[in-house]
Amino acid sequence: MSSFARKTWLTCVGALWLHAAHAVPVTVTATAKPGASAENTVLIFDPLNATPAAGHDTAIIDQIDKRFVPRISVVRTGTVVTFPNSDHIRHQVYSFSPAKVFQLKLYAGSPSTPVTFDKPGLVVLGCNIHDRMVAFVGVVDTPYFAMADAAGKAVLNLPAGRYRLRVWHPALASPVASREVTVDKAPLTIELNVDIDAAPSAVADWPE
Amino acid sequence: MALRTRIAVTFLLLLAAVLAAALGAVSATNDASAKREGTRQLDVGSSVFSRLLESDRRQLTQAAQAVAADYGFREAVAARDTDTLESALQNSGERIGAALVVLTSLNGEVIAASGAHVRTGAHFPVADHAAGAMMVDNGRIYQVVSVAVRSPLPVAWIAMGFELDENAAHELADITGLGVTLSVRTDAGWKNVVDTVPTNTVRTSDVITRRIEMSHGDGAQVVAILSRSLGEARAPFERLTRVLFLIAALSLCATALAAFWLARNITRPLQDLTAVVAQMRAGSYDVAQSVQRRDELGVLAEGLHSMQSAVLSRDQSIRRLAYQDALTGLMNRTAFGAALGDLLAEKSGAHIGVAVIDLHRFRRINEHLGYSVGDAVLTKIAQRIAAVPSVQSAVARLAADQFAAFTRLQDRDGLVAWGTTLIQALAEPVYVEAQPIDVAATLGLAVAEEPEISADELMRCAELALDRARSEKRALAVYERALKPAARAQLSLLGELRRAVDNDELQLFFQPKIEIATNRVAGAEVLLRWQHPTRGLLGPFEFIPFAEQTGFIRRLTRWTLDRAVAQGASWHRAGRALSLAVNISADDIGDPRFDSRVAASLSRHQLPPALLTLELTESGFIDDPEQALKMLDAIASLGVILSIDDFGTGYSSLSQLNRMPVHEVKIDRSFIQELESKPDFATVVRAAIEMGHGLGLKVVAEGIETEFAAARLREFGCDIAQGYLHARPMTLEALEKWLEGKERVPVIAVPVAFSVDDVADTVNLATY
Repeated sequence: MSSFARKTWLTCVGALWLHAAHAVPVTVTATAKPGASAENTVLIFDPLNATPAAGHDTAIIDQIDKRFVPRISVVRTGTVVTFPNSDHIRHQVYSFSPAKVFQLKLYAGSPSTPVTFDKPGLVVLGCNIHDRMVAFVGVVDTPYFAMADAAGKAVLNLPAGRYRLRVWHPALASPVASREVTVDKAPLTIELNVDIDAAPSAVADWPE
Repeated sequence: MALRTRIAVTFLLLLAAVLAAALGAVSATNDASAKREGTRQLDVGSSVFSRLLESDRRQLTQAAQAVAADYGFREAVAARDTDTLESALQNSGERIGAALVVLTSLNGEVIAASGAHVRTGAHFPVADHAAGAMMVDNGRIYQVVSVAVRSPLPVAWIAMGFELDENAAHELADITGLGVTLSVRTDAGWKNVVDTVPTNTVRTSDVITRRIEMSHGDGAQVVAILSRSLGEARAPFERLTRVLFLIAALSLCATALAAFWLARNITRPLQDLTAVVAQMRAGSYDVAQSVQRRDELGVLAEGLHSMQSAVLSRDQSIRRLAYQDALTGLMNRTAFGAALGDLLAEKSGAHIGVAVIDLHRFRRINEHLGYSVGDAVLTKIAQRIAAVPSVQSAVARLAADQFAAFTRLQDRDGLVAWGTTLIQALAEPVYVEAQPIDVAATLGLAVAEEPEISADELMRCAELALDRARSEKRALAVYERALKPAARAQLSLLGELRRAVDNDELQLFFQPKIEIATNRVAGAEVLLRWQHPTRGLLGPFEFIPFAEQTGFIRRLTRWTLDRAVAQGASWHRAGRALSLAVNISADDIGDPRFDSRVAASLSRHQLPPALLTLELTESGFIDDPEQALKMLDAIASLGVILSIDDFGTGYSSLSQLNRMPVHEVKIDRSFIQELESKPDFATVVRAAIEMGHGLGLKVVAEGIETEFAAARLREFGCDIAQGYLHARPMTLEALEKWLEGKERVPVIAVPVAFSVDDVADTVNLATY
């Protein structure tokens, strides 16, 4: 993992930690079928008994070696994302996704205008010059979300309460049904089975 | 088959075979080439066809990609701005002439479309055409390519297609040079949708095809059938083959003409030569040379011609040898016989006279003067005979000193006149190298009186007449009818004579000899008679000459001698000894064993040799005088009395006579018989008697028929007489009767066992 990615990741975790002083650790383990990995499975906990306030986070999606890094990001609604270009060639980042339609004029080097993702939903990013460059940004209204590590595991500290758990992965062959999760004082462990397609023909639908 | 036809046909068949083989080879090669060429064109065409389709696919892909990549178009897709999208699709479709442009969602729902019969909201099987595929819509075939619209992930499909209609197919056909048929699989089987081949013009067997699957995956099943007419591929070869056939036909015709001309050129001279050969076979050798050429046939004709000349000249010389006498140039016996036969065959009624001429003394001429002189004499004699004027005559040389002539006579009497002419012609001496040589001739004449007489018979008649003339010492004799049966029967005579000896048909006759001085019986001459079963009693003249000619005389002499000796011995044992005289011939003298035969006979019958007298004519000395003298000496030494018969007619000289061991001579009857009529003969006879006596020989006279003759002989001092006056020849019985009471000349009988010399002496003593 590059230093930029690490920094983004630490920023998010730090934010969660600050807002959940009295949180209960919830461990989610996603298990993929043999031969596939559940890494980067996006786990979203929407609180059902409270409405969290909109965040003012920032995020960075870099472009390194004609790739978006990170390829998959999850941000709170209202997060401002900057798109620095670490390559020595120009890129033109765009999105026709309904959650956020934008286009950054052809540029190189330091980031231009940051893009504010102000509506929840999945935004698919592309480069108008390089068709193979794809990145996914999941925009959510909750601060409680995580992505599974290489072992398919993620640990969150959630305040006690009722949540709706949404699960998404670009290569999900079949959608994972959203479920209701009640967090008490005791630590919670959630086991998930995800059907990750090693060679997907299309991107899985975003769970609303 | 004639040679000409055979040559020509052989040539033609050979050429035809070669041409057929060549044409066959060319045709097979052409066919293979056409097929190979057709297949190659099909390969190339198929390759081009595939390339064209691929090229179209790429064009479609590029066009679709260009649309899909356009940012504005993707913006419109994102915004689902249908009108904009349709106009964009139409625009891009028109750009490449696509018949079909469709934009669908990822699951095939049509968002916007241009061309064809695709409506918005319908389903379009875009995913099938991602790699380019065939689509059949409403009976039309489209080549469709689908490209995803990405933003950046696929959000839609854009499909573009060309219609494969008649124009497209014809374009493909033009470029590939092949017939293009597009066929679609339907529920009812394959159906041709587009076809550039006019179906009724090409035979299916003459077309090679290639089937190309145009559809992939689950799309509509469409195949392209590419075809190549072999007839087109074959056309140039067929033109070549036609030309070859024409050349073959022309060369066959030319060869046929040439072969017939050549064959005719060879066979016509051959036919001419064959005709010449046929004429030669028929005996004609003077055929002109018909073939004038410089080649082998000319040589053959030349050879044939010279062969013809050679055969002709050989034929002539063979004819000469066969029918002509080499020395005199006269006809030989064969030719003469043939000519005479021809004349007789004319049956003109004329009298045909034949003369056989025998030369006297010719052997002597040869011996004393040499063969060249002899030949010269013969030649001149031949000229003389030929020079005798005759009517339609011919002259031939029959043997060494024998000639013959025939002529056409006015009448029978002319025969003797003609013969006399011939005699006179030969009477003059012949001059050879200025030396006169006397040649006398004896003639036998015969005339054809019977119409059916053959040449051989007529000649035999003349020869019989000649025999008679010779035996009668006359210059000529004419054949008489009486001789004829003998002549006719001559061939069987020899057999009859043999039988006569075996069957005792021969009989001894005896004619007594009388001692003139005392009128006592001195002995008897033994004469042969033939009691022929059909012809009666035959005298010696009728068969002795024949026996002499055939050599049978030896057998006769032996028989006669043995019988006579036996008879003499019988009398001798009875005490009535009678000297017997037996005639022997020149042939007997020539037999080297004759003396031993005589001795054996005397010994067997125990007859004293002095009682046997052997009479021989002077002619016995002619052939080989030395040998004859030796034989006579041998016989005389046995004690047998030897007598010269026919004395005075022969040619023996006195000196020769002196050397001969003879005891008596017998004067020829011709002198005795003419004694009375020709006074000169008396002188001759007297001289002969005196000469005989002078030589110390007893003299016998035969043929005494008159008292006059008997008286003269007694007067001349002849010792012994024999003739009709005293006694005719008679049988044994008659002789014995006749002898009764007759006084015999006493004979001292001496046994034969005595030595020869003793016997001879004794006999000599006894005789005198």
